[in-house]
Amino acid sequence: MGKSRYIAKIGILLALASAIQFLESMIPIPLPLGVKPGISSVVIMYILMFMGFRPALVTAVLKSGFVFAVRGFSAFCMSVSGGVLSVLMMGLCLLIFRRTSKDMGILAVSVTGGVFHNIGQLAAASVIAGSIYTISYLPVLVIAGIISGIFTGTIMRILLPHLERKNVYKSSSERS
Amino acid sequence: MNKGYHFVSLKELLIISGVLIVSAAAIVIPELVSGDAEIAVIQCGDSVITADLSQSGEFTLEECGSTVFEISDGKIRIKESVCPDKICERTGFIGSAGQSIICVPERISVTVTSGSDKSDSADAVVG
Amino acid sequence: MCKRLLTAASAVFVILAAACGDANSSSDTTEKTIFAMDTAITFKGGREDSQKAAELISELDELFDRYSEDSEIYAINHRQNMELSEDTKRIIASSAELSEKYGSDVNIFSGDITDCWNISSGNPRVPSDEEIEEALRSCNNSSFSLEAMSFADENGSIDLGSVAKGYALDRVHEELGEDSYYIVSSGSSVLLNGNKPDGERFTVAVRDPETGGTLGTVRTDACFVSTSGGYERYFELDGKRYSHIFDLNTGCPSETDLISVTVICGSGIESDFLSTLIYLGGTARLGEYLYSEEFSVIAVTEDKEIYLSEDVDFELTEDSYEIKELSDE
Repeated sequence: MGKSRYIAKIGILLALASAIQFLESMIPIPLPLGVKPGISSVVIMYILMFMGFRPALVTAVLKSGFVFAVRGFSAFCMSVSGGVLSVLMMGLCLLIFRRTSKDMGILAVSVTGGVFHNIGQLAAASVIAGSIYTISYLPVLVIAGIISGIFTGTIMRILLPHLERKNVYKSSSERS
Repeated sequence: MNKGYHFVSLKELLIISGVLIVSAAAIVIPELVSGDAEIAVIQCGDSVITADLSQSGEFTLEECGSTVFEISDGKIRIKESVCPDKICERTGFIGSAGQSIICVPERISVTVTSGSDKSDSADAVVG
Repeated sequence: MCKRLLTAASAVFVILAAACGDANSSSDTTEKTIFAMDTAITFKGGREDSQKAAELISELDELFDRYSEDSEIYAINHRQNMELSEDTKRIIASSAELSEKYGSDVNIFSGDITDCWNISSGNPRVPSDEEIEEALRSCNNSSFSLEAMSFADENGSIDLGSVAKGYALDRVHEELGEDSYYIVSSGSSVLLNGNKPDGERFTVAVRDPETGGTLGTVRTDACFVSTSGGYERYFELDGKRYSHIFDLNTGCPSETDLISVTVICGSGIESDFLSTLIYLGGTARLGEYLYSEEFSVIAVTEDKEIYLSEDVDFELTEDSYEIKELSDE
């Protein structure tokens, strides 16, 4: 893939992720602590699986930049912390699958992403609020992360056969 | 499977379920154990003492000018104070989060804070 | 190209992360209690903000305490010449303005009346009719001149009890600004500012005058809340309870059929002043205030009835009370 083509692709995917996130924020969901299903992380997962770790990280950070523009600084801190941790842990998860030479479990990756996204957000929130008591929210957020991970994993499972017909497993190890 | 991926394996499902169960337990167990256990934060000048409201009894704090406190049924009161106006004694028992007893002459404040559920307590109390 | 993009992105990320760290360290919240203005005052908010607020309130307390010989109010009351601070001038002028606007039933030039009941000494007494008469006369003929900021003759003395805390909250608000999150609570007056870390609206519990428990809770955005009532601060003489709030028409502790009045508005001194004024006016005059657009009212009567302004988001938690509509008379 040519470089400019590559950048354009990331740009389109970034726009897609931001748009999904924005649409999602417009739907009021009666969950505490601002818990969201996080459908936009499907896009991040796609980038991680098909294009590699670094572009996924970059997209996650740039997506948070969009959050900064729309919802301000503390929301940005939470978004960036959740997004980066989520990508790091999903990448680690893929690496483990690769090292153990097994094929990748979509649900395992998406649930890892969901859980660590919430943990990252909580960590940022704790620092912003200056309180360690927020740790009491941890179990709730882990469960919420698992549920949203199952949600996004299912979407991924449905989309994956249509996305690329080549070996996902291999392409994720290609250099970006 | 040779697609390079699968949805979920039994092992992965077990790990996810395990985390789910541990988290659920972490939510439920403290609720069951502590119930609505609350603590009172007693401030006398510079010293801060916390009292567990689930343990009934009477105690005297020398650092609070020999003020006598009493805890009963998850509530605390100032039983005897050396202060002249006795407003703090008249306040009586307090037990829900956010409530407080203030003794201005002796510079004592007693505030009930909730150990578990923070969302319930008010940000401030007037009156 | 790709590498450069990545480098740029990571540089931006590092800078923003560093900025994050900075913002966080200044926004860590703390709780701090000081004793001033005859009560305990609690701050919740940034560490620096709390420190600033505590210092400011202690300073104001020193200026306004009429029983302290070093205070400016003492100097005015004892007819001493003194260069007054901007704060003293402002609180006197604003209080006089409020009495002018809403009614002089609450009036800072009424110190002689509280004095003749000897409350501050801790040994209150019922004064003779003559004493009350004299105190009332001196209070009504107060010779205070706002231009000179002094009394022209021996009539009258200043007692800032009904406005000092409210003014102090206004000054804290001025000093700390609109943006940051902080709560200053002094028992009868509360200042709520900024956005709560959890994004919810503020919740203020209104104390049950009978039990000291919680009567109900008010949900509100950033604002000032003040409550007046005779129940917490009272004194007993010969088995009769006397309120610490005085009726300036009779010169005696107030006898109103309200037991607690809470006012919510955008100014500390106004909420403090109005809660006392409405409390003194009783249910008879409640109608004048309940429908105001400038402030909101929660009034509790001795018959355990609660009257609310329309825009108050109040949730009753104490079953023995009942929310009522004011009937037209």
